[in-house]
Amino acid sequence: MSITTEPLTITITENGAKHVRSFMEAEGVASGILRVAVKGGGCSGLTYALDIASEAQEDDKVIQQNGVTLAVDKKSYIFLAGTELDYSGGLNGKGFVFNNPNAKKSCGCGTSFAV
Amino acid sequence: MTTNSGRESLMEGRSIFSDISEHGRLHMSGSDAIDLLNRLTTNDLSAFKSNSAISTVITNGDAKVIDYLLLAGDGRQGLWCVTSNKRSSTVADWLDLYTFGEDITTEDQTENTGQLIILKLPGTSFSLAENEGFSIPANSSSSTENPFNSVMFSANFGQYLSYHILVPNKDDLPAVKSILKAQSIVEISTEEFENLRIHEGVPSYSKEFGEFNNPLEARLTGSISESKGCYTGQEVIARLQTYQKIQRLLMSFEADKNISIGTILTTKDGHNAGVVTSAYKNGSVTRGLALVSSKYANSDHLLTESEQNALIKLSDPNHALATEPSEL
Repeated sequence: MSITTEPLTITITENGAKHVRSFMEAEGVASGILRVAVKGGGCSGLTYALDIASEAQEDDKVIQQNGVTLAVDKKSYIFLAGTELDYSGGLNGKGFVFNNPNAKKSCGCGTSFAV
Repeated sequence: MTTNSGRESLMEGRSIFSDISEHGRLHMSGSDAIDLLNRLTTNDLSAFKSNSAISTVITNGDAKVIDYLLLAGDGRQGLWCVTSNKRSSTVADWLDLYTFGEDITTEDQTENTGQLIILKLPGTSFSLAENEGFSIPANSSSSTENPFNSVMFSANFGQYLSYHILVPNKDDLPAVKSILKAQSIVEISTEEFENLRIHEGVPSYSKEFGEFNNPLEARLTGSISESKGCYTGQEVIARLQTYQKIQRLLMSFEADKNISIGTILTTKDGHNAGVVTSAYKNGSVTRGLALVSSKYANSDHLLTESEQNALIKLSDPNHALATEPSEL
């Protein structure tokens, strides 16, 4: 695996990182990795997927920011490069939000996108 | 010259078959294969099992048709995916594009395999088990316990019941055909089968559907789940249905003159109403399919073809009548 700080990387905001750490603590994996991925399907063709893992896989891109380690598989990275992961909370919050410059359109609920 | 021996045989209560090996055949395996297809296609595959068969449509995010698929369980953990003619590699590439590390293997087996379709009228006597072991058990829609390890599955074909026999080794095709012929099942030519397809209103890729339209226009509604959640193109399809914004509909037609594919149909007062997508000559009459503007797509309208001053009588395709949900 490689750790990268190249320009078109995936970033996570302070607020996003805070909620990731909170979820990890609730899951009992305080030192875990947030796996950020793309999955086929959803109204527009692609959806975002988040998961908590204990370690990165061999070919993952690994990014460390704001106290959180992100792992992204190579194919997902193509669609996520430049994305900022944030968190929108509160009563009307959406939860984790992907600000993805590659997404040309998204579905009404925002969970699916197309490039 | 076209013949109707196939349809005549069917009307006499006999069964017919045709070689449709030109269709694409993919074999998919892996624990995520069904889940991926469920996310990318229109029908609900959540209950798909090793003895299932179902039709579904791959659409892109704009609800344009990538292809119409017939899926049949392979008796184990995988499935066969039958595509339109020459579409197997496009469908395989599409599935690969949307696969992100899941446990899925897709193999294009089109060149190694063969496929036959048997048609019969509902209610006519046809015991599958008489055909030396070809059968689909009750409560199943596909089976693999057949001669030559072939997969047999049922599907709609207009007003007829159809049974597909997918032969894993194409060298066994002649032997399978011999078995069917020995049971007095008549083989019809590719041309006759195409005429039957047109007569029954079974839509075909690049003619009645493709990336130029959505599955609603092609009357493939029977392959679209009304209750499934997100799939690629779902928002557009749901919007078109909810607001009744389907621009065109596939209709069958009969004309009193020779009408060719691509002919523009007009209303009596000269409004552009549609285009002919498939046609064949039956004596002095042309029968065919056309994509007709929704406001004219009913049997109340007589359309014309201006050059020959032909009269075009529209009707709902048999395939649509057989497959569309009763409440639309």
